[in-house]
Amino acid sequence: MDRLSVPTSRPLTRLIEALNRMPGIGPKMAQRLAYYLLRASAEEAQTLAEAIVAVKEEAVLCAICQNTADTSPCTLCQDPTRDRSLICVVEEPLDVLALERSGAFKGLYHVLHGCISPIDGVGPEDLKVRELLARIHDGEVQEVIMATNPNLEGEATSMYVQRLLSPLGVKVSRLARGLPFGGDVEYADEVTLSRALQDRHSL
Amino acid sequence: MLGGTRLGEADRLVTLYTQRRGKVRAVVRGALRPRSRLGGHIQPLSHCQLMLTESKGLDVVTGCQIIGPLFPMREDLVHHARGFYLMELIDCFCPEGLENPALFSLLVDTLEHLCLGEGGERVLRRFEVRLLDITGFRPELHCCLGCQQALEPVTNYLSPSAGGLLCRACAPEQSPVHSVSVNTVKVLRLLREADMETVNRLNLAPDLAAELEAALRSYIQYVLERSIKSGVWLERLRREFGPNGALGGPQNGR
Repeated sequence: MDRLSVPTSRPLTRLIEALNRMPGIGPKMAQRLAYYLLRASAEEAQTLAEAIVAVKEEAVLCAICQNTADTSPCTLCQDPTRDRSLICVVEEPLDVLALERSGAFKGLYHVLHGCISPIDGVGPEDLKVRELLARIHDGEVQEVIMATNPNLEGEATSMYVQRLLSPLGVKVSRLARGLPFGGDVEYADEVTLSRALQDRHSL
Repeated sequence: MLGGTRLGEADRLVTLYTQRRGKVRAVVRGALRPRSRLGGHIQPLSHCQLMLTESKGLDVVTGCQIIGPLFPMREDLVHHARGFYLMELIDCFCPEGLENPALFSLLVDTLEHLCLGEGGERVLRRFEVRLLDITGFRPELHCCLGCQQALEPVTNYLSPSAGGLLCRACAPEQSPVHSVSVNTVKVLRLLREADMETVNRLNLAPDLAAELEAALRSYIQYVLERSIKSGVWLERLRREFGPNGALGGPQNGR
């Protein structure tokens, strides 16, 4: 008998197992969530169930930027006020939300849905790189900003995309690396400090 | 650091290769937060002094100081790929908690030379040969493992299952085998003993370098019983951008 199924009823066990499969949710957390839902009102459980079904049935990938959206093309890609000569390339849809919250970027996005990770066997063919190249070939784009995560896999992805795009005559830049606002120079790591010095600008 | 995965909201579970304790897994609390004091230090391809605190089952990283910054590894796509390759090899060959100071020194030495842009692929071949030696998979390169006779200076055969070279007469009895020229055998013997300066001076013809790489790759794959994914990535970069483009200029050539 499965250790998760020992003290619980069958529907509860099923729910615990389903929750346990989600990223970041271990057995204990799955049990807590399942028992919370058991105690919650029928309306709350129904709302959650409908939301889960809806996200699978109604959410689509935008054919242009590959972001998760209600319609294809998404509202960002249809927005006439956005600068179509600028594309910001991000790893995940959540990165689009983070950049939009900043309010500092007025161009379009492209979501790769991951990053190159040779050790995990994730290559460019597993990402939306081909779709990005197709957008560049349309000729409207003048600059691509790589906003991949500042780690080894993110850097590898940026450099690979840069190698593919450079022959096409498009400017490829990447987000600056430096000290976070409110951070402490004393505790900054050497890589961040050296990048901050490289990318310094006059006051 | 050999690799890592996200743990919870902002923590990372990292695999480290250490001088005193070999391969260990540890948690870096809050590593994914922008203001994390540890997240920037603990990145793959960095040589650090770490402070680990034993916790329930898993160690927790509580302090970190970079010893040897390996910045150039992050500045070039092929350096990246080579670094990934080294990390994957170490991860595959080393069980958790088994210290191996010789292998640690070899890894640090190899990474530092790759950072200097010296040796290129030859440094990887030296690493592979020395890795097999240190971990106990040293291939026999002087006499035939079938008939025990000294090898003639002709094309011989590397048999991963036999654990080294076979002569022409004994090779058909073993499978699979990889034909290796006299020069490849000479280079394999040299790499076993050679220091980095000697490796830097080596000038390998493309055919010889390819044969050497293929022979070592098949041997390592047999030992590990799996393919090296980052090796496939390195080959892909060479195929897509050409040997010179991928190798980033003459200083990084074979």
